[in-house]
Amino acid sequence: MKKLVLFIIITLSLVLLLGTLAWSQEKPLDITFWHHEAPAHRVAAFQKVIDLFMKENPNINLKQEVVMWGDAWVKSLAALEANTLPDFQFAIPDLTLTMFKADALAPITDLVKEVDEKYQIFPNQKNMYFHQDEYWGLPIMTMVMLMTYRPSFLKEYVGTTEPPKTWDEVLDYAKKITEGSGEEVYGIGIGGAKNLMTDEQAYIFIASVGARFFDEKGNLTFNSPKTIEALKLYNDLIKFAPPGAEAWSWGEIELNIAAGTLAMSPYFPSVQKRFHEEFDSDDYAAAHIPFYKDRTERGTITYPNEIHIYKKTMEKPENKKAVYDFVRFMMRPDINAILTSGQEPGGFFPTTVAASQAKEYWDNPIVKRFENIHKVAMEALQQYATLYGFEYGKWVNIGIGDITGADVLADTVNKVVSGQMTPEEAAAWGEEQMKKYSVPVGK
Amino acid sequence: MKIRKNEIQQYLFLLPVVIIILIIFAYPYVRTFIYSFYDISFGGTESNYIGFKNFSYLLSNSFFWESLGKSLYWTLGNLIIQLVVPLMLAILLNANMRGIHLARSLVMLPWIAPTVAVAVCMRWMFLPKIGIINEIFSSIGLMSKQIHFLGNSSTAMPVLILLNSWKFLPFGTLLILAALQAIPTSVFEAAEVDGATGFQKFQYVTFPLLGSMIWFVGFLAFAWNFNTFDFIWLTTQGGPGNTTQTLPVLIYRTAFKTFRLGEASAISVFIAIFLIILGFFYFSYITPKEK
Repeated sequence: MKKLVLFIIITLSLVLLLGTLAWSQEKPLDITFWHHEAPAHRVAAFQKVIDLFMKENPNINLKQEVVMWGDAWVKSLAALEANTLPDFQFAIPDLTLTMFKADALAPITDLVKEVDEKYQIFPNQKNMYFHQDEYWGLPIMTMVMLMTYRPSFLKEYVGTTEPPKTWDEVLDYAKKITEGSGEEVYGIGIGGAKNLMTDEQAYIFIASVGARFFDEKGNLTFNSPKTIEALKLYNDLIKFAPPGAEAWSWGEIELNIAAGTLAMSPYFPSVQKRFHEEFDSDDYAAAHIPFYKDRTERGTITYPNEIHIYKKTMEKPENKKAVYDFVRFMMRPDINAILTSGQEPGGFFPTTVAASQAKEYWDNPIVKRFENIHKVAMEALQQYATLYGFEYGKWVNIGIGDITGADVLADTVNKVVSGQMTPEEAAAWGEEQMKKYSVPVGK
Repeated sequence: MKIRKNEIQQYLFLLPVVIIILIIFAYPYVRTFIYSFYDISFGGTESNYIGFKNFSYLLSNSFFWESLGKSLYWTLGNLIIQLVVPLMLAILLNANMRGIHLARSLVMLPWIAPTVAVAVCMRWMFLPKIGIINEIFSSIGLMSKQIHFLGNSSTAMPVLILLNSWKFLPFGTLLILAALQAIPTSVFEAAEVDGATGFQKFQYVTFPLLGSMIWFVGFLAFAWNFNTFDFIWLTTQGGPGNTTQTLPVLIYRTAFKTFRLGEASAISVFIAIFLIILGFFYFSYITPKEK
């Protein structure tokens, strides 16, 4: 019995000693970030960047976690309340604003200036994060909507492969294609449901006619003759969209373009991969967004995907350093190309001059095949692409994050295309809804 | 003394379950009830006590009454199908014939199919141009023009009701079948001896003896369907427009899309009180009492 007790004591002591020794060894620093790109190949692209970073930084254990876009706002706010936020998160400006309002963010002006000096961030991409003399996000990659189209359908039903240059031409082409094909092919692909996709497509029309959600002081200007014109144009065009477009969500436009049931769509030019890998076809192109009537300025939506960093991360110096190092790593043109043309050619574009000129970006075989699309996209990004609520180079209304989260623009469009309201009524209704969330800067 | 010890033991065995129920159910219910009296946003750092203002705001707004109307339309539509069809299926499955056990197993299939998979499949099946339903109906001449069944405000709700009822059928069928099989065969034999036809046997024997089970299934179906969120959200998200925006969908939108937690909580409290009162009247005054 005594021997048994002695044996147990010795064993336990050894286990305790070994455990203490193991625990005291230097462990890699755990850093976690969230992003919202769920498709497997996008997760793989992130993992490739992570693996390359960890090879250069073996003392950092970097982990990605995917949160679906639809859950991003709610999960971020819930994580803030539960104190379980990641170290940093990929986001879009509206989500960054929502997290700013929730007092979760730390300014990263030093990092933005450092990257800007080294790689020259496109000003309209950078300025979406400028507020109270600080930068609250750094755009890693960006997205832009162009007028995508199938040249073969334009040739067959309109008699030209030249894309429409004005919205009146778009309407004319859409009618000719839809009617000329006996509704086998529909002229235009735009959605009408209450979701982010409709928000984004509708903004192209809003921006094209020169309408705005807010003025420079952040006061609501949504209910305006220009917004009403944009809604009318949207409603006229959706008549030439496939049945069911009023209920479309993400993925359905890509599906219809690839299936040959859509001729044109103001959308992300991101179906290149399918045309290259599955169809081995060049029958996919993208042009600048058309002009609206006599306007000489175009309008389209760009959605930078930035990172923002949380206050709790900044409170731990080693975490802050690790995150900063990773951001610097991601902004290297050769690495950034993995997240842009490597992740989704035509879906993600660079946000810096250096990355936009990187050999690694343009050497991608899909980019080479659809080179013109990428050239048009870079021009749009640098010349006229913007985002609702962020048109003035600074934050003018802190409520835009919640307005987007509530899909007010999409809801407004939905009311028009479903026949519930006239464009005039819908514009007035939309502004009333926006009032619930509107927080002009300076109030 | 011995009896008292056993009683204490019983309560101790129950304790873990009670704790879990308190944490998972009671705590969220109480918090929701409290939030309904506050102006509070999701993730917000401030909350203001506003008394009954959330409730008065809801009751004075048309979107709330529209959603309540849609909830009742949805529930009653489902109820009719989920009572009549399971009853008919149960009578058929009560037969004693070859292959009946296989039939009873197959009828379970809609119940065991995951709701998410069913909803996603149904969404695609009912699409125009690429969905199989339109193809079949067009090819047999039932339709001259393809319809987006779940994207059309006239057809979305009826089609959703049919699809949701299909999912519920096995549950109601099995409950009613179990009740049918509990009826002694001697009762049917006696009715036959008295010269009753098949329909008369159903009218005077089967239906009255199934009464309590049908009432029970009816109330379950009412409560479950009234609270259905997942199937509607996965298929139409309350659209097109607000055509299928029932109260549970409105709660989700209010809480997680517009972040108005106080308002969403008020709607939840309203539903809870409504169903409790309905249940009380249902079981006290409507359900026939056993003599």
